[in-house]
Parts: sequence; structure tokens; C-alpha cells
Amino acid sequence: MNVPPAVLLVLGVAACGAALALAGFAWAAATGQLDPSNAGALTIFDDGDDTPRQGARR
Amino acid sequence: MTSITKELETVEFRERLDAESAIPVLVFLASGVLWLLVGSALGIIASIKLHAPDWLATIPQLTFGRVRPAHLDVVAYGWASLAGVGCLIWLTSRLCKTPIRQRGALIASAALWNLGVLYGTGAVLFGYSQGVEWLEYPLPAAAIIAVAFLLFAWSILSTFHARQAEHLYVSLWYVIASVVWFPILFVVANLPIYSGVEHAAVNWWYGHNALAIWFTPIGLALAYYMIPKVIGRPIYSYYLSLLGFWSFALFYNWNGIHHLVGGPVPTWLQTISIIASVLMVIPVMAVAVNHHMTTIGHFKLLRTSPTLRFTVFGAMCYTAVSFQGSAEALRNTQEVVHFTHYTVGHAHLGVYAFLSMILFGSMYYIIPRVTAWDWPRPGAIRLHFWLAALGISLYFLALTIGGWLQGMAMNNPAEPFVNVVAGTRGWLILRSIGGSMMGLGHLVFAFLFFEMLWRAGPRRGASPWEDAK
Amino acid sequence: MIFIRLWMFFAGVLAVLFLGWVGLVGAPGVQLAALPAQTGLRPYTYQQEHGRQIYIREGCVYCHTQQTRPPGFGGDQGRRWGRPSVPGDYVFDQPHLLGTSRTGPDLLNIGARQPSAEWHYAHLFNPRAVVPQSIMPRFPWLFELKAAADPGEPVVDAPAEFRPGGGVITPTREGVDLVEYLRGMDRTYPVKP
Repeated sequence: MNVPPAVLLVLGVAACGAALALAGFAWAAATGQLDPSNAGALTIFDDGDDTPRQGARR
Repeated sequence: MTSITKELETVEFRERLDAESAIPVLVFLASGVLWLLVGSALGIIASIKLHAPDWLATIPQLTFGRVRPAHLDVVAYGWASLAGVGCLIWLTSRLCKTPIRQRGALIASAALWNLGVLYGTGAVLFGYSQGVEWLEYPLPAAAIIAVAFLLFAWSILSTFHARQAEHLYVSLWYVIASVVWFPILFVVANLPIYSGVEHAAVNWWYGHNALAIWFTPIGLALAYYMIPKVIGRPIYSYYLSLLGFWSFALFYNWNGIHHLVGGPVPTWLQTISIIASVLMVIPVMAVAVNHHMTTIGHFKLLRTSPTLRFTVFGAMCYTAVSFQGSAEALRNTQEVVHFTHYTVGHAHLGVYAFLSMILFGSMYYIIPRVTAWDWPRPGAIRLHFWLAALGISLYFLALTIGGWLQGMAMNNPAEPFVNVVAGTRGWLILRSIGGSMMGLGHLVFAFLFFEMLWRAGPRRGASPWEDAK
Repeated sequence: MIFIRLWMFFAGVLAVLFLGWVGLVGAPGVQLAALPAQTGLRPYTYQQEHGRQIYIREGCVYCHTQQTRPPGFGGDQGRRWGRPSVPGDYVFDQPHLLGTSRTGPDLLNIGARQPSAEWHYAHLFNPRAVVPQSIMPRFPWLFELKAAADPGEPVVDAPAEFRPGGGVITPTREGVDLVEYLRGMDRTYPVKP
């Protein structure tokens, strides 16, 4: 089967990108940079503009 | 915790942030609302012309082939972009916990942006289009918009650089990424160096990426903020939003060539875009889980909160339009629907039912906070919602069913082509009705919006909802 | 808490955009540049190129494609709209006009399918005079009402209601050139492998 060189190029670049992404993810996990605690999700509630009762009206 | 952190968490500090972003936010939002009315009028004219071709037939500026691209450009670069920028300015200031920077640049940006859209749209109507879908604006108009965008990006990045927030909330990743992405995309795609089939590839790399890296991030950033904020419940899985963001960034960039399936572009290129379109299921699932699992159990709030009603409707439509898009990119589906009105229905499910509804919802939240006045007429807000929601539903169903039948008929060589055309007529009339309902909703919304600027409502804190309780 | 280094965020953001460009624009650009123009394809004449500008101005591309699909994919072959188009058919197209909508039929080979200039004039002047169920716009601004045609000038076969006070309807320069462009749309030559 005749594979155009452009296909090989794209697949190669994509494979490198995927490998890089995986490595980055593993590195971030290993160095504790990922935050599985969900704490980040709470940061929008610290400005006094978010009680359910208030919010429910807007 | 330091005393500075404590100060950032006071109500007074938050109110100061909102007040400082008020003028640029309102300038962008008001421009967006005006373009929304223009865009709706152009859209309705184009729609009616497809079943009443002799209506306004002798005015060259209003021929279908000029009004239709003018409609797309006005709603994309006028309404959605300008209203989106207005919302993002406010959101960035809040998430960075610092006043918005470069406010003068923002005002200049709004002025240039309006000028660019006016010039570009006028050029399309008066016959000076570049002739490329999504890139109709002549180069000078595109250059004006590019400069306006860079001024806006400068303000956002300056604010980000001066941030006092310790944590970068997920909405902020989408905002920062999109202000880096879009100007590069817009400039590269507008370069006058392409021809033939490569130009088609550039065209759809741009066309799909305009949605991928500009319009969709606006909608997602706002939904990620508004839904948890109004409900008072953190998003379901913050961890998942990380996976959602990076898989979104990685896959969405490769989607564009699914607009050329079956055409004269290399087959491998079409295949790659189809694969990437299907892979979009991953980020969409991540976003869907986060949005819907946060909402679930709180549906009764949709009745009292216009913000939530519009935003949750938009978030649901994001899930729907994305899954539809993944299925639509497959070769078997493209064979039927590619050249039909079905695609137009899909586009409106995205830019209207998803993005515009989230913009409406966010504006219902933001405007009272930057003006310190409350919305008048809860009944009119409900009317706006139902006109928009029922209008887009009718619009989408009519074009989805009608487009599919059109595609089936078109693929049957025994069916004379004129019958294919005639068969779409009833569906196109239904589309005009749906589109007119949306347009009426926009009139209601624009009326409310300018009433707000005129301070017709109650002062904030004494809202009609409180009285009704 | 910042859970990712900031420079990585920006590097990642720029990398994904660049990767997409390499895949969808850069790589096919290299491949397509190596493909020859089809030998049967002639560059547009000055007149045809002007007609093409009118085609762009009036937004014909929003309802008509210029690409024919391969056998087994849609009905193009059965409708005899022409062999599947190839990249070499488009080397003189700037901007490209492949189109995405077939509210009307494909026009890649309209010149071969409908070579009659008279038909095109009548159709552009009032599509419903030629195809009663058509929803195509009229283009009266590509025509003018005259007392009498110049020698050799084409006359549109239009009913009297369009000619108040008599006279004849003739195409303008723009109308003539648009029809020249449409009549020149012919990619029926055999494909060079």
C-alpha cells in the first residue's frame, strides 16, 4: 500500500504530541501538581456573591 | 491566610471589581446587542427569500447571496464576539481578583471592532466580499478586527499578569487560551496566499477553529462559572475539567476538514478530521458530566433564576450539538447531509442554542452587578426565554428533518433536482417562523437591556422577586 | 493552588494550535503543491475571471458547490454531473469556490451540461421563467432595458411585463462575463493520473 509521506508526517507529529502529553501528565501527577481534592472548584465562592438563596433570584 | 487574602474575599472588594469593569463591559455588551438585532434582521430576510424568492428581488444589496454571509458575519463577529468579550472582561477581573487592566485599550478595541464589523458587513452587502465562507470581510476590515482583538487580548493578559487570585479557576484556562489562539488563527487564515484545494483546507481549518478556539471557549468559560455560582454548589469534578480542557484543545484543532468529506481533498486528511471529530466525545463527556451533575437535583432553581434557565439550556445544547457533530462527521452521515440545510440546523444549535443562550444567561447575571440595578419585568425575561427556546427548537427540528429528507432525495439520481428543491419549501417556511420567534425574543431582550442602561428597574437589593416571595 | 506550571500551560496552548495547523494546512499544502495541474484545464480568460468575480459578489457559492463526488458516495455520478473532481482541477481558483451547500445543483461542469448562452441569460434574468419551481434569486441588475439591441448583442427572451413601454432586455457587461464564466465551467477532460 502506498502511504503518502504527508500521512507519515502527520502520524509522526501526532504520536510525538501524544507521547509528550502523556509524559507531561505523568510528570504533573508524580510531582503532586494535580489536585484530586476538588478544592479548586470552591474558589469562586469566596466573594460573598454566591449563596443559593441570593443566586436563585438571578 | 494573610490579611490581603481576607480583603480579597470581602463583598466590598468584589463590588469594586464589578464597578471598575462596568464601562468597558457595558460598551461591549451594548454593541453586541445592537449587532444581534441587525444580524437577526439579516437572517430573517435571508430565510424568507428561500421560500419567497421574488420578495425584495430587485435590490442587489439584499440578494440572498449577500444577505446570508452578512448575517453570519454580523452574528459571529458582531453579536457573539462583542457580547462574549463583554462577559469575558467581567469574568477575568473576578477570577483574577484584580480590577480589569487597560480599560482605555478596551474602549478603543470596542470602537475598532464595531468599525470593522460595520465596514466588513457593508462591503459584503455592497459586493466587495472575499468570497470565502467565514472570511468574507475584505482584508482592511479583517485587519481592523485583528487590531481590536489584540487590544482586548492585551487587557486580558495584563489583568491575568496582575492577578491576586492564588488559584486559576477552570474558566480562566479557557479565556487565556482563547485570547492567545484566536488572533493567530485569524491572521494566518486571512493571509492572501492560498489557492485551489489548499485554500479550501485553510478555509475550513479556520471555519471550524473559529468555533473551537474562540466561540466555544467563551460559552464553556461562562457556563463553568455561572452554573455552580448560581446553584451555590461546586462543579462535580474539578479533576475532570483538566482532562476536559486539554483533550478539547488537542482534538478540536483537527476537526476542520470534516467540512470537505467526499470532496477533492486527500482522503487521509478527511479521515484525520473525522477521527478527531469522534474523539471530541472525550472532552464533551467531561464537560457534560461536570455541568449536568452540578445541576442535577436543582432543576427547581431554573424557574426563579433567568441566568440558570438560559445557561443550563445552553449547556444541554452544547452536549447535544457536540454529540451530533461527532456523528455528523462520519462518512455515512456526511454522504446524506453535507450539502443540505441539515448542516445549517447544526450550526444554529451550536452558535445559537449553546453559545447565544449562555451569553443571554450570563448577561442577566453580569449587568445587575456592574450597574448595581436590577432587572425590571420578570415576565418579559420569561417571554424572552420562551421565544428564544421555542424558536430555536422549531428552527432546529425543521432544518434537521427537512435537511435529511433533502439529502436523501439529492442522493437519488432518479429524483429530478427541481423536486429536491421544491421538497424543502415547507421546512424552510417553518424555519422562517422559528427564526422570527428568535428575532422577537431579541427585541424583548434589547428592550430590557436598554431599560437597564436607563435604570428603569429597581435599585439592586429591592428586586421584584423579593416582593413576590 | 496552581496545579500546573504556567509556562507549560502557554507552551501547550501554542503547541496544540501549531500541531493542528501542521496537520490540516501545512502537510496537505506540501502534498498538494507536488500535484500537477490537469492538462485539460485552461486558465481563465480575462472575461471569465471577471465573470468569476461577479459569481463571488452575488454569493452564488452559498447555494452551489463546485465539486463532484466519487461513485458510491451520493448521487453525483447517477446525475451525470461529471467525474469526481481532483485537486488539479482547481489550480487557477483563487479564492476557492468549492462550496458547502447544494440548495441548487453543482456547477463544476455547468458549461458542458448547459452550453446555451440564451438559456443562461433567461435563467439569470428570471429563473422561474425557465424552471417554474426554482427558488434562485433574480439578477435584474445584470441586465438593462433598451429601445433596441446593438448589432450582435444578445437579447433576453423576457415576457412583456418586464419590459414596460416595449424595448428589449440585454445583458450588461457583467451579465455577459458571468455567463462566459459559467459556460466555461467544464472539467470533463480525462484525469491525468
